[in-house]
Amino acid sequence: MKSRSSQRFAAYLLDELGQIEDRYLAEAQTPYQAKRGAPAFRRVLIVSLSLALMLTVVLSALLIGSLRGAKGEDDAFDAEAPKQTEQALDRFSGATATTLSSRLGDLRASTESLKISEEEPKLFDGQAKVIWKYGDEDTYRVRTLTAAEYRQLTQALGSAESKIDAAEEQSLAGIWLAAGDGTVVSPQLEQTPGNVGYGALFAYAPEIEPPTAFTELLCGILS
Amino acid sequence: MMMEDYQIVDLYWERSEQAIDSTARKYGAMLGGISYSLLSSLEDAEECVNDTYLEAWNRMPEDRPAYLGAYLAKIVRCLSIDRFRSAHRQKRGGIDNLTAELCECIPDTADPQREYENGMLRDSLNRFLSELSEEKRRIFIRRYFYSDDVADIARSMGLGVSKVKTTLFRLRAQLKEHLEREGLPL
Repeated sequence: MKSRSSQRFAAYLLDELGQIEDRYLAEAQTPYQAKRGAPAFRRVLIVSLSLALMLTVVLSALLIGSLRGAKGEDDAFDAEAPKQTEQALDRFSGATATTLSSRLGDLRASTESLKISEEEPKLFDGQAKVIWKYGDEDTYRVRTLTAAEYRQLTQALGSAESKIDAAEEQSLAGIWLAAGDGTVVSPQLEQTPGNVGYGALFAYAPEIEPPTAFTELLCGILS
Repeated sequence: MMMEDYQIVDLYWERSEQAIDSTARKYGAMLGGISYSLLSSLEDAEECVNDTYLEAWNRMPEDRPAYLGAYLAKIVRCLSIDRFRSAHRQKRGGIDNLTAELCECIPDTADPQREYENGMLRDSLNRFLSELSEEKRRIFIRRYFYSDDVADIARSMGLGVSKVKTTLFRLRAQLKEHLEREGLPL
């Protein structure tokens, strides 16, 4: 129970509140809508995380499906996939260059015909493709991929082979795998939700060396 | 068409009776709302609003308020509180509720008379309000100046009732801290 003095003071306080500055009173009379920036941001974040989770689940399911296929339980192409990978590995086993950047540097002349005339490759045409650009060129090189090739490549994007030294010279300006629905990933970045682009070939600084299996598979496809 | 504040004030200065009509048209509902929420009586509220027009008529032309609405709101609020106190009502009304809530801001050691007479409390309140975010300030003023109930505040500001209640609870604690920090209760 508050003392009588407190009650008197509260009464004074009530009176004095009647004398606060006019500008505050005028402010309180104007229409106001609570700012909902934070909740909206949270909603976007939740949706993004949900999509990323779905993508992870789908990729995992595809990976599992492919492994089963490699054992002869799935379609004919998947049954051939390990062989193709092995062939690709065999073909390049004697190569001295080991990084993706240097391996693609070796394929520069043979992929000259894959240069495109458009300024930007199409990312929403439903066609999966691998896109790359050399550091000293303005044009992109694009190789369309079959669904199976794309699937194998994305499955080969496991954990990083090694980190890329930022000081290391790169022949590539960038390399991306486009799904055809606008989704773009780069094998030179960790495959995390934050590294999935949409609708644009995002610029990036290479962070990881993709797994050897990926590099060999890709070079096998391109050659 | 509603007149601008400065046009209505001009009418008061010209001693035109149209000033009262224009004031009633623009601010009558708001003034009635403030008074009713304090007195809980339509008749008393109506009388207070009429007294407010008279008070404004008498105070102007000496005063030239920049915010006519705020100026009138202060008058009607003051008149309503005076009426309530002088009527010595037994039943608990809006003012009792507000006073009870504001008691939470008061340390038991407070010496109200001194702070009140020195006008220190008023200055301190204005400083307290100036430090609040716009949203919190609006909630505080809508509750403790305009005497709006919590549900009305929530509806008019697009907030949840529980958020308004929580904010008011925290604001009372903040005000208590503020008053202690400023040495008012000593």
